[in-house]
Amino acid sequence: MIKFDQVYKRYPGNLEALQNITFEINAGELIFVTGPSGAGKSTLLKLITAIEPPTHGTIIFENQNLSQIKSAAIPYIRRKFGLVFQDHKLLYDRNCYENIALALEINEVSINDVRGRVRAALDKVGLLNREKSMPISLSGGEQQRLAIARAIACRPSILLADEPTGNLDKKYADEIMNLFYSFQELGVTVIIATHEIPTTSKKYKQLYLQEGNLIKITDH
Amino acid sequence: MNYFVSHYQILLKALQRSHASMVSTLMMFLVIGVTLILPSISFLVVQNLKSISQTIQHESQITIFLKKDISVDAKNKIEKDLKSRIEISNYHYVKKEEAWSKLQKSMGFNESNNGLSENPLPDAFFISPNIVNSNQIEILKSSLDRLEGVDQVVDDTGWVKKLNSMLHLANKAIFLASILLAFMLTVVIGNTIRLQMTSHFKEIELSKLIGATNQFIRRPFLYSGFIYGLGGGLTAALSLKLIVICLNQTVVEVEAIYGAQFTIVDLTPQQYLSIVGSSILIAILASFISINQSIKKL
Repeated sequence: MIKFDQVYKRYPGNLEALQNITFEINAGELIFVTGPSGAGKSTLLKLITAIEPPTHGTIIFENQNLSQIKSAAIPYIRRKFGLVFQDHKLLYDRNCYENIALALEINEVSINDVRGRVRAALDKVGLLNREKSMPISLSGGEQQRLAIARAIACRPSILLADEPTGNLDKKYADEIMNLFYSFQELGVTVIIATHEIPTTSKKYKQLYLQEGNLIKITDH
Repeated sequence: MNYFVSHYQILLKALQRSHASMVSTLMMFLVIGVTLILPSISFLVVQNLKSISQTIQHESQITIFLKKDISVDAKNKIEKDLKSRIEISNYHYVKKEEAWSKLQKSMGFNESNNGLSENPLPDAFFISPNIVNSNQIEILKSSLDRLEGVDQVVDDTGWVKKLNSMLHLANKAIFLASILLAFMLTVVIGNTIRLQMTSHFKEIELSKLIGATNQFIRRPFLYSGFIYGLGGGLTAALSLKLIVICLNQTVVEVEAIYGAQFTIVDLTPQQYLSIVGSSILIAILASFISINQSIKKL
């Protein structure tokens, strides 16, 4: 599904973010990308979603070479991912419903289906009763759940999360992780970049990065 | 269907956005309106002067001064020639004695105090041509000049020609000024759209991250540009119409005092539409340039 082959990413100023990264992710897997700060976890996610192009190497996603993709095709690639960010990236001048509806609008979902899909996504994350609430009135955990609802509303085949529990206490963090596990059980590929892997009985693959190098790939 | 509904919804959003910042939207309408009124009024003035000059040209006369020693035969020949020409609508002959007497009367002279030993005026034909075109008038003049017994052919449209060339120059000046003003409008509208985009930066950034195309990001801001253009264009067209109505009312008063007949020629509906159309076009173009520059920076 996703294949990295000798991928390098260098930022201006000769800052080597990733070096010689090679790995493969199969559909339906649960992946934890771990490592200390500055290891290159976020850069790796940016390369997968074509937010950044690689400096060198090949990235294959669903038989498409992301290293050579035309810029006009990038938005359509990104639509296949559900993205969850540490800072949620919610729009605070729109209510919960509108935040999710925007993602569906971008994905060109039929207007007749938007309402049903938004409510289904909110229901999935337990926020159906907060449909009209503004994000600012939600707790940190609820805001992250809303961000997940926005990501899953478009029914992506891959869910990517960059430090999704970084700003949450343990109780909320567990809630969020359980949500991700539930989507993986439904067949969605889940890739989570995190400092620490939470305790789980789930089968997962770990990519451990350090100073831009992929140190080890382990199956648990 | 989904496509049109989506466009309709984005237009509604753009309208809501404009309504939310009503004062700045109205200010924008005013800026565009006033900027467009300036060349439009100049155009209107030139059009009116042109129509006046054409009327004057149409009423112009050509005078044929005959040689002092012209024979009766030669004079009759000229008259016959004038009669046969289709480009001459009418003419009349004034004898030198008649002209001299009229001149003395108008100047308040008589035979004893005019200081001249003899009548200096020649016999003359006064011709009203039924052609307006200056080239045709020139051809007629030179053909009359070649007639036997003709001393000089003079037409009284010289100053009209000067006025016409001035109006031609004015037209060019208006065209150049319009280009400059259009450029200024492009900068002003573009800057406003850029500021709008800055205030929606988070939304744009998120939209790009989750798969929005540039078209999707561009659309609401293009609609904002369209609203500015439409509002500004209508402001200009309505203001211009009001100005013409007001001026025509004043002209009625002038007519009553001087007994002259004159009306300000209004722009045609097509010309009013073209003001609104160009305003929309400039606004959309300015928005497009500004949006593309901002998107590139994202």
